[in-house]
Amino acid sequence: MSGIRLQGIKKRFGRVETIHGIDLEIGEGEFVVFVGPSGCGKSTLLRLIAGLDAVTEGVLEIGGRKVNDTAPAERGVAMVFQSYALYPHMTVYENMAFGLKLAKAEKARIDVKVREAARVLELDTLLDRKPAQLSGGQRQRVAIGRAITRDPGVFLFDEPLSNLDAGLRGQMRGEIARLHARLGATMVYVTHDQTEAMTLADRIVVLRDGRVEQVGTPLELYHRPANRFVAGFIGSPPMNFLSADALDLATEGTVEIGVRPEDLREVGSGQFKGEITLVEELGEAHLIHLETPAGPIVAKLPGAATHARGSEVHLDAARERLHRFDAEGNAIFSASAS
Amino acid sequence: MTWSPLQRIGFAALLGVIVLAAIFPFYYAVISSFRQGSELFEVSYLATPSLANYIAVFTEQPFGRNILNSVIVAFAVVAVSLGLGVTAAYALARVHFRGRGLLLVTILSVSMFPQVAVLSGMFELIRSLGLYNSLAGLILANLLLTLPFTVWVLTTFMRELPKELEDAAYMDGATPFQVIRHVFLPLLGPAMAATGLLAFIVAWNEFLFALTFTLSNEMRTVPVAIALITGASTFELPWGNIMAASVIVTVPLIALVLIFQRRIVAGLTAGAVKG
Repeated sequence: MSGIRLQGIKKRFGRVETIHGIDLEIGEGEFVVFVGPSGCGKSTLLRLIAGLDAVTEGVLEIGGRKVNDTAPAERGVAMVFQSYALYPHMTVYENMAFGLKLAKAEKARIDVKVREAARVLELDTLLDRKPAQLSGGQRQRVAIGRAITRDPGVFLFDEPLSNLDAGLRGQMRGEIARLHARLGATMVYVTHDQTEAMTLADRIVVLRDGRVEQVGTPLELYHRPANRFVAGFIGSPPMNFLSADALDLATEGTVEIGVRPEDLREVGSGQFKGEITLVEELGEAHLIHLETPAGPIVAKLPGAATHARGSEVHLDAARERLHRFDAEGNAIFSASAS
Repeated sequence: MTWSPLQRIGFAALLGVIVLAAIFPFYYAVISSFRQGSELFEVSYLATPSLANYIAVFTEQPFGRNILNSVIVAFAVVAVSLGLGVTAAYALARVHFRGRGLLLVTILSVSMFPQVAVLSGMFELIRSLGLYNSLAGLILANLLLTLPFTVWVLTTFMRELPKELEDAAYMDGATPFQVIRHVFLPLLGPAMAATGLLAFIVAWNEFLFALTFTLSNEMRTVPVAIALITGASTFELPWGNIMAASVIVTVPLIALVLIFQRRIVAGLTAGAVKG
């Protein structure tokens, strides 16, 4: 078991700096998810922790030991790749045993480890198959099994579910969560899918352009985003941003008001009114798109739609559910809300 | 697609012409090798089996020794080419360094020189290394012909292998050599078989270097030995012996192709990396 500490981590490829000084502490046994749009440096950061790329500047510690120049296998980390990266010419058993074989472990010990991992991941009956004979979900489990057999203190996941179809993704998400509870190992998980981030993480790290935008628990990020970027990134459908001047909600320095679609309620007369331009039925709820003087709004209302396109509705949200942002896009927290 | 009878006949005729053009010269060599004396100069398409030519080839000169030489040279060239080729391809395909493109182009341009152009330089090199009239000298010279395309083909194949596979092996604690040995080599099997086979054919048939860098009959390889087979008088070319020798040395090539062709095809279909 081991925690991870990043101090002033920078990464340059040639002259291009992609990670601009990241400080982060990941506790022992914690499940931390890196999210951000593509190109934000989340995968690069993961590869730095893995040891596949070298840190340009700063100190990287795993389990209290500086590992800047330590080989990947000696860091006590294991990684699960997006494409699974199973060795195509080896059977499932050989794939999972490869790391231990390279470490010159005894045959009997390898066998125990592999069979145990196979049992946990329900791969017992597939040990003699080649990766080409497996389904996507099974391959993913083999990739995780390969990571487990080496007893790493830290698991690194690089968008592990993005090649699976939606149904399987939800199922594997559950399996990873159970695995974390069972092994108690530190896990770092990279994804661009905010549902995965919200459901799996103890803490989420939101990255943009090689910088940390905010670190916090999923609910902290959802309820108290530090800035406009985080507010817009977490939550689906995304938060509505409205010009503060067009509303009478403006307090000093507030340029924009943010409100989540699911926080809006239909009222007889309220802050936001406009004409419905689109209605989307989701089954348990419905989305209405509104054109208002302060900007377009999407609202998520319970049940089936009661209004048709073209009709005018009034919406409002509780005061404490409104988010205020200044000209730089930073959140303004009023004293009462904090 | 279904074909009309006419199309079928046309297709069969076309195939027949191609096969005939490819096979006929070899067929004529085979039947000639079984003929004797003036019989050789009559046009006839049937063989009258006689093994006299085959026996003569082995008794009139050290042809067994020549075959052994060819085998040693060809296998050594294949082994060294593939060994150097795979490691070079790993560096050229996987390691980022300055001048990689230039190096690749240089390697390719080496193979563009006609053999005669490098002959004198190669002669000096081999003499200064003390390898004149030895098999080691021939192996070295043949590498000049086989290494460029071996490196190129293997580099191309190696580039196609996913990067994450290599990363996964590093995470499992592999060294670069272990990555090549345990991950890349098995996946490169079909490419290795194909390039190895080509290298073998080049080395087996190589004539000019083998003629120039050897002196004694005992060091000659088969192509040179065949060319230098002489008859009873200076005015007679012993066609029967030459044909018999040619047939003998072609057989191993055909056998190798047949063996590896299967492996190449099997490898190509089973080698799906992503599946």
